[in-house]
Amino acid sequence: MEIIKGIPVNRGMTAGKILKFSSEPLKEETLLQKLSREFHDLDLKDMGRIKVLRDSLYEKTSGKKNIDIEIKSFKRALRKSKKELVDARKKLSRDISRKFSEIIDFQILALKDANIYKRTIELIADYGIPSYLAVSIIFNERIEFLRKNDKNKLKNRTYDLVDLYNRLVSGLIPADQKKNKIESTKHGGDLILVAKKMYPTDLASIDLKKVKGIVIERQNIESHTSILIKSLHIPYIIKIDHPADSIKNGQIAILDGYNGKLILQPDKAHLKKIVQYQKSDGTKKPGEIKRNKKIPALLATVNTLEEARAAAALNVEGIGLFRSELSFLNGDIGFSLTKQLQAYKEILELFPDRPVTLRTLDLSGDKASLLNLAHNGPLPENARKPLARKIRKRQLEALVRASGYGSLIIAFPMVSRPEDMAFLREQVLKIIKNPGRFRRPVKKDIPLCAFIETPAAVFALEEILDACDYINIGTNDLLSLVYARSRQLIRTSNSEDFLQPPTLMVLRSIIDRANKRGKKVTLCGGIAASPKFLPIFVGMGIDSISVELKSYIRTRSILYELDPEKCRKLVLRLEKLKTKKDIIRELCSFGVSNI
Amino acid sequence: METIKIRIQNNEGLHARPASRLVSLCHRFDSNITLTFSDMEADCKNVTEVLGLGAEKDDVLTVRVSGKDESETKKALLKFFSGNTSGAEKI
Repeated sequence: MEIIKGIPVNRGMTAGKILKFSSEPLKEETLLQKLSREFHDLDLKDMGRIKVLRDSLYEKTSGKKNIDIEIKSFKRALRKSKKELVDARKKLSRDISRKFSEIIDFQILALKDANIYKRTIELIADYGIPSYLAVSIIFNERIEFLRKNDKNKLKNRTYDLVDLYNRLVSGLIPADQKKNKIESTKHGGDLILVAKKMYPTDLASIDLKKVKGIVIERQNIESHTSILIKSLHIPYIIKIDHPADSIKNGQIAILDGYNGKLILQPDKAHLKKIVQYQKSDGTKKPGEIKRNKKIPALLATVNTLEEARAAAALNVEGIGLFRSELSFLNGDIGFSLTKQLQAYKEILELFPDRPVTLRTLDLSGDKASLLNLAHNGPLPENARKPLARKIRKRQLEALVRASGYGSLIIAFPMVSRPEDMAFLREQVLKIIKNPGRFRRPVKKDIPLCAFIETPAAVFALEEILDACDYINIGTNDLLSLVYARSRQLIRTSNSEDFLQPPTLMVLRSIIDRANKRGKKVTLCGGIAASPKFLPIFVGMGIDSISVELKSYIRTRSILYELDPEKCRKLVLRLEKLKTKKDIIRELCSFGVSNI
Repeated sequence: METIKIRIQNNEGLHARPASRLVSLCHRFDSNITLTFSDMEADCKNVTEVLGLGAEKDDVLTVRVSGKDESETKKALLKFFSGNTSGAEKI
């Protein structure tokens, strides 16, 4: 048995035989094929590689071809592609829905695009190059044109052009060079489709009735392929941690869309689970064990809108930390009030009735590049503070206005002094009193959370607790300051290094003082997902833990199995120990080494 | 020349599907139809150019129509933007 993990997109569970699908259109022999491979592996960071390749194509092409024949073959390929696309549209309209089949319209219209049609013909005529090279060059340009835009959604749309390019080019080369896309379709019964990459029209080439689950190694949640698959309502996982190429065709597998797992050659226990699931008509869901109330809630730490969407698909208990910095940097969230409001609304609506902690921008230290981004260029030193104040105020306005869309908790990074927290509370209250003209009423009692990340905050904790509703222990920064190590080192170090008395003392001090004042505590950072630390958090009575999405499933399976009473007694024993070695030995005897 | 100002209403912005619908409609007319946003201009009969504008929700765009059938084209575009499949509204 082998378990492959990925990000679940569509929930559900199914069993069947693996059907491998390869969307690689050509053999790797000629320049064209090299280019095709480059397109196939298109990566956001690979603009330079594509440009270099295009330039080399211009140089390496020698000898004039028969221009008329090349133009005719291009036009023929165009007609053929159009017919195939129209057929694909009809099939998807029948198999999925008319609404989603419109996704193909983009490709049909792109064939009429003067920048593609006319310019390809001009290129063939002017340079005397083969039609497939002209098509490759023109598609390169069009794809670069869309990718120049900083928006992720547009970057996703370039995959439609790659799909169209593959189709056109495959019509321009001799049939014996084409590769079968599906390894074998002889399998009977239910199938789990496994692919490295899939394009929207690939779906039209498959008998979707037999496909009960889909796994794609390289796919984005927002791509047109994902949109189409999501509408099929079958288990679907992406970004698996194992190359799709190494998964054998025809082997029996279980696809668990709840937990993002593809189980190859499952054992008897897993087969029993799937039988139970199928018998219960999908009501007996795997991995959805109820959490003991004394076990901390497990929340997700996310950095982007895409991760938030993936967290929603994973059915997490809530968002313990949404760091907004990265979303501003990658353009997911714009600086304007409207764009911020739109993004926060989307995040909150993804988690109805579940807490979502959105942390305001951390504009300190290395994150000051955000100020340059907001300013559209380098910002003089003396202009930084006023701009940071302006950005923070606007972000608070957007957050307050979005509060009506879900269970929002506004969090503030690096709170070190009680007066800082009191000032921020005052600012929030001011906006609540006067939120401006807005359709949806804002919440009057938005909970506020202070990030405890500095020793100063630990010393002044009582006063900070009085000014906020929750606290979140940011362990990366806090431990780096307690142990005087760089933050980068903390991120990359083994969490075992911090299994020392000072860590336990700091955590115990914060948790007990917060509990005394009736305030809830969340913990995030690198150690949050550490199996060795989990019994400590449970034993100390922490309310919730927030972990990165990639560790969520593993952490959940460990956390939910822990016995709160045993953990409490373990922590009492650990607190009496004086060295790291003794602490680790005690944890091992508790059984964490087996986790 | 006829001019229409529109505001994008769709949460996803002017993405592939509404852009395809707009371009399909424009192909039915002879007039030159352009869409301007910020400092960029796109030929409304060219789907990659329209998509390349990267217009998002609440962005305001200008449609310019010029040619023999411009009034007829404008009428069809107004009807299109008043419907709920365009993802935009006339302002």
